[in-house]
Amino acid sequence: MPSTSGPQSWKPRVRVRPGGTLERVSRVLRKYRLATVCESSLCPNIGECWGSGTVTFMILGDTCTRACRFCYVKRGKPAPPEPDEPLRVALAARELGLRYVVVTSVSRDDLPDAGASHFASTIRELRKTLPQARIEVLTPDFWGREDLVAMVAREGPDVFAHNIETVRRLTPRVRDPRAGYERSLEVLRLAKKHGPPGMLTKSSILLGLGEEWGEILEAMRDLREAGVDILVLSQYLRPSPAQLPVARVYTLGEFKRLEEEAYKMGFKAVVAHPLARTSYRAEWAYLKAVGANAPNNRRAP
Amino acid sequence: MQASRLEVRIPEALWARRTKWRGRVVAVHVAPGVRVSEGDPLVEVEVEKAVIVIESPYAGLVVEVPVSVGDEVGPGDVVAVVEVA
Repeated sequence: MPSTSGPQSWKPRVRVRPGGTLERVSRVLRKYRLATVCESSLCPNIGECWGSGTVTFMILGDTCTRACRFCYVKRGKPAPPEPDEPLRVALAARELGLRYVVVTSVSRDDLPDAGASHFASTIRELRKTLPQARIEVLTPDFWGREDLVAMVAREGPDVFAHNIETVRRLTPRVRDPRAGYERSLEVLRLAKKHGPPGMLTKSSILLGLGEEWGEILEAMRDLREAGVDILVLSQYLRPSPAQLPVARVYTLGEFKRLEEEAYKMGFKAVVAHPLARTSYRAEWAYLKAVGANAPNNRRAP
Repeated sequence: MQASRLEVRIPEALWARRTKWRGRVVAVHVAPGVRVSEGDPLVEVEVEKAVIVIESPYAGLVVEVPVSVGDEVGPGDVVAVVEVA
């Protein structure tokens, strides 16, 4: 149970069942030489998600050109994109039997299109291979360029996610200098503008980086005004001493209050939980947002 | 029918592509002679972002627990041996 005391020492307890599904997921990922954000970010939900057969693919390699100060993904000079990676993602998704596929990437400031065409190819390959599957992309900011955001949105993912990550004031301290609060809002507006009707947008805020309550509400309102449909609120957990310290641990009650506020603002689905991550229970959030019969959001971890 | 002894290991799959992580055992829930069901917690290991509770993938009799609180462990390490009928 989270508490407001001892933020540095609080760690969530997560369950891992060796064998079975977890190992099968791992074998499929190795077979197709694919990275996942589950591994790259040391995600604590890996046991639950992989154990239930779901993953979040990370395309364009495992090395990011940016250095956001909360993130554990390897940074440096990435290798050139692999043209067959979109197909490999699609084949792995089919082998895993996914009906809801989430694809994210590192930031690729080294590429002329920041990786937008690679995202577009991945969506196309997935549609070809798994026509029934729902597709969610979680993209970098493409420098806020309209043509690049449009290139991905026009492929018609079911959900276009891009993360604001933190409140306005903390953005320069928390995110890479090339990222921006306004720029991220613009990416979300542009995605909505160029995506097909019915395409949902989604964004996440990490809590516990030093933000004030009012600033969280402001960020939520800003996202809503940018047309965002699905909101994710989660507790920042420090991946290693090299990242920012945890400034505060929010209680489950506080997450609940923020969730209620978010629904009042008009978000169609809200995933607010210490262990929520952008792709966590993504299918549930999607189904909730489209008003379909969402399966129970299972147990809280 | 002869019972078989199955090792329960910390999954190699956990975060394997990113790091060769090590963690610290912070709790041991079983001892030799204890019966476990599938899903019962065996040991807890503290890593950077979480405390991972390793569950038993088998029902059976614990015959060996080669780790203690405070031990450093990592992927592939055996945390228990369970005799399965």
